[in-house]
Amino acid sequence: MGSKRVRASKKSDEDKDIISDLPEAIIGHILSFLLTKEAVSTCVLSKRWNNLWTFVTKLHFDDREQYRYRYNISKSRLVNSLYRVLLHLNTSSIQSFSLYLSENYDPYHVNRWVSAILHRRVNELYILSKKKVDILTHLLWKSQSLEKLVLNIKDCYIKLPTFVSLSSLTYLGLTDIMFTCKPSNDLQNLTLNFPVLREYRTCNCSWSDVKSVTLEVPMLEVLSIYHTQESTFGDSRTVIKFCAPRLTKFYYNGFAIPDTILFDFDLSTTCVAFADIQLYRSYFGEENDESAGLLASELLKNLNNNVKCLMFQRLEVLAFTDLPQFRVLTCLEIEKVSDFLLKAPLLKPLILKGLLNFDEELSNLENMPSCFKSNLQVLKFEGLKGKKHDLRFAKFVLENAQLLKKANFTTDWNLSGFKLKKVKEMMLSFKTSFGFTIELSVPVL
Amino acid sequence: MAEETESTKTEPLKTAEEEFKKLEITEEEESELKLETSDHVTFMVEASIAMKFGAVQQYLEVSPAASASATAIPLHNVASRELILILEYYRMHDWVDAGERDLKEFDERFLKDLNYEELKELLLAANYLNVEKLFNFLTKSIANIIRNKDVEFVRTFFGIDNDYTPEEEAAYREENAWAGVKFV
Repeated sequence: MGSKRVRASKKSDEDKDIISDLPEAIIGHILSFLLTKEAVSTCVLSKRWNNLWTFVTKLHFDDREQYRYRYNISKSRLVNSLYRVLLHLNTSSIQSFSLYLSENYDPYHVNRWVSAILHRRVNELYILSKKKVDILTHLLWKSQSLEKLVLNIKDCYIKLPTFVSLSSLTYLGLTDIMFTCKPSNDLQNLTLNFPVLREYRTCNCSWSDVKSVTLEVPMLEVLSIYHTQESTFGDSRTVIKFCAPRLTKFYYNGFAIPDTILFDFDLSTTCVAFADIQLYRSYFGEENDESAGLLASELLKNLNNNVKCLMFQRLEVLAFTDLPQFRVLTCLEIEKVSDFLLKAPLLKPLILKGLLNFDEELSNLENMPSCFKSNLQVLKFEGLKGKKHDLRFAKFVLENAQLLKKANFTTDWNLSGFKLKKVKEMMLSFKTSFGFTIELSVPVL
Repeated sequence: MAEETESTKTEPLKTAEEEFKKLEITEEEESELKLETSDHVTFMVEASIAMKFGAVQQYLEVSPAASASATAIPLHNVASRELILILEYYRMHDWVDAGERDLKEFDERFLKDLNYEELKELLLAANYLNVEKLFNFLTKSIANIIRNKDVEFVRTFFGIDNDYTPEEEAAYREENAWAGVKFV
């Protein structure tokens, strides 16, 4: 601060105002980088600045600031200032509105602000709240100007109209939102129409009293669903269907949900380059693994003909179901060897994290996965324990995978001393075809 | 001894090859556009950079022939002094090998080397040319000067004349206390 003062006085030598006669739109742009209350405070600089702040194009309100700078403003001050700013704004369209609330506010006010800002054709809307606020305004689901919508509101309850269309929306990010429909005796079918949406991310969002949700998202590229909190399932099971012919990345991460997720792909054109499915272990015991299995197998059945690269964790949940064929899968990362290998004939690299079982009958040449014979080029095996079935599998792959160029084995960390030496000897004794490399490494602790 | 002659022999060959490679790349590179500033200086500018200027894009949309012909695209509100600065900024930011740290250092130096009159002229030129990245960089830098400063500091820094009477100013401070602003 001290040095800046010196610089400030030096620069004002000419005593010439270097900023005030800039066009209003440029000053508005400069002030848009500040917190809105700070932009407003420039009104005391001089008469010219009296209303220059009304040309801002971005609004930022954050009630945590009062603590950081020890401003003694109360909640009512934030409420008042929001109303006054919205009333005085000069710009006809607002680029972005971001609101961070750490305290409890009357939902009536929050909804009034959201409506007012939507009337000004806002492009980007961000609302984060640490306390519960229900967003009731229906305008939000009709906006033709919204391009980016991010709602992260604790326990937020949103009632949707049965038809939603946001024609400019490209990014949708939702956290902790519970969606429902207008009350009615029958369960509702919802249609959400987002013609230019590219990215859809939800975290701990759920649907209640809704029979089905259809998302018309012809341009969607990234779809990410997170469930980091395990919910106690109600009776409600919603069918969520994505009509997303251009999807390239799919992520499912977390606990299983009772809802069904479906994809409506155009089989001939859609190619999901990457899918990452990570299911968490339920706190409520084995029964819930069944729902995880159901969800996983549904997802795989939906993706099987289109996915090129797949990462999957907790294969045991698939024990309940039959695996489909993976026609175009070329890259796979899984925890344990399983039927997957039999179902993916085009597999080239394979990354294994530990081997659960490898029956002797599987090492029968007739049952050999076809990918071993025709495609497999790289094998990475992590967590080699040196058990019989581990070694049997290693021997089998090394002897039979005809196109294998590189095999990399990492031994389990608790394998040491004599045992480790023996495993190494065994591995190196396997007969290998042609000149490819085997790497054997011990994890560094 | 023999080794030495060997190495001196191969070196010019290698550099010639590199030179040739460089030539090849520049030959592959796209065309240039001719821009004329308000003080009637013409610049040959790489199309990849010139097309980042909203004003140039707009001009070419209206008269597409200008991209091929020898006629210069007129920039009525930009002087050569500003265009040189704008090109310097864009050539650095367009440079593939520039790392994040290089760019940060460059930006800091770029800003420091400007006096306030130049900064203002550049801001107006960037606004007129509709060069988004530079315009955002400049406006954000000015915003950072204002952020968390008191009224007196901002007045002194920018040379703003306070034409309020003390009573008026007090009234404005009072009236705007609702915003929760600190006016020290």
